[in-house]
Amino acid sequence: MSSSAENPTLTTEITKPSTEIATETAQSAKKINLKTSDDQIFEVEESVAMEFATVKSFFEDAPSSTDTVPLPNVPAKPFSQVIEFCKEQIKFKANPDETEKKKSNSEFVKEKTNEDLVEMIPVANYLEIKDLLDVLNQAVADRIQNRSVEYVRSFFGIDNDFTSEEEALLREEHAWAFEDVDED
Amino acid sequence: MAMELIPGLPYDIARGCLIRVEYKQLATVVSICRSWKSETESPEFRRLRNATCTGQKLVVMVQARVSPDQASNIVKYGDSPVYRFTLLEPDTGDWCELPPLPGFSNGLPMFCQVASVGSDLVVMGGLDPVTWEVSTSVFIFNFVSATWRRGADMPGVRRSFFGFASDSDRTVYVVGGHDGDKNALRSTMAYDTARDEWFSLPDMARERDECKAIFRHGRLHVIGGYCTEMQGRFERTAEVFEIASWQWKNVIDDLLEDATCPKDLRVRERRGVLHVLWRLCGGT
Repeated sequence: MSSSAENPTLTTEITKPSTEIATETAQSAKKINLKTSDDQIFEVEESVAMEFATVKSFFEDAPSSTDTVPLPNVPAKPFSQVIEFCKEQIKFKANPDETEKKKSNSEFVKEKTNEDLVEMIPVANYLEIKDLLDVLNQAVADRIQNRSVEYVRSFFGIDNDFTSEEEALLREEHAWAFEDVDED
Repeated sequence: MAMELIPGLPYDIARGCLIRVEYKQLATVVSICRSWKSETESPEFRRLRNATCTGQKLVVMVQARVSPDQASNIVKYGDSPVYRFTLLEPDTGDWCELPPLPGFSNGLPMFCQVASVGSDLVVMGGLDPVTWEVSTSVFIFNFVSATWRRGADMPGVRRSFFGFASDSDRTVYVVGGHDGDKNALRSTMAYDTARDEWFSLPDMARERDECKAIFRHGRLHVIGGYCTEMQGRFERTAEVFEIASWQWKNVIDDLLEDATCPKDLRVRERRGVLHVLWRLCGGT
């Protein structure tokens, strides 16, 4: 249970600019340009881009299109992390190993801050990457494991809309939610 | 339902996060805000957890408590053991004990009936372990709040040794058994845990004391038991109540190979027909 984010504010994934991705992957594979909502252009290998169901169907609808694909709902920061995840996933497509895949997924999640995870969910949803969405949903559920009510509210930015009477009643009925939790 | 569970996330995506929390965490989840509370308390939420296998499996058992200072002694005759509920999480191997029933600090009522309904555990009837009086109490344990609540008492005669079955959703059925004068009963009733209400079913064709009740696919199967005149001499018959048509079907003769107590019976149902798989041998 100690695997959850100890210091959510410390680790921040560095956004990889498009040039870095370009040099990383040799000139062999076909590249696709994807433009994020904050106008960053990511040059992504076709095999990785096809992991995004939304992008894939874009090309299926307009096969001749060679233009940059706009991703209006996707900011660059979470997108770079999503690319990171999909690159790993592709390795397991060629060489399926459930144990290694699980390990890789949990490594991926472990390095991310709470903010990273919550930011990636709408991106994974928009791009329709089901595996990633499952991993993120589970990661979020794990992050609030054994946490206080106040911690969970601030984690998601949720306002307490119970009246003080209702809250008192909840504390009485669900006493165990307010006891023995990890420190915030 | 256009409510927002998590700011910035579509409703079904946010729900995808919530269904994955462990059951122990649900008490926290309902205390976050109104929308989380109504979401997690909805039947659809429970259905989704089951459908996606994101809920936890829990095994609830009734076990006699062995007190450490007594353990080395031979159990004295006449001493009735104290029974309580224990809970096992098969995935983690964790064990714990459920809190005692309110007013039953000396353990569970003897011969009480237990069933799981939705995400609740229902305990009914039995004999008070101290006074041996027949209890008509209904107790419901909720795994989210981890607390017991009292349900409406069992109506009618003080019934004991009845058959008991749950539709796993919200209703439990109480069939046969006997009254305070040891008259075997044909009457059947049901308790709706969500509405805390009792209602009657039509009577069975026969009196069935100590019968076995099994609920499968909208049918309540009542097996064996005996009538008042046949004290302890069990029948081999069974009868089936169909919920949709709200009536009892024909009595099935000779479902059981031998005329003994059907308590430990295990069955399989195919196309509405019961097949006896196995039963424990020996005394009841």
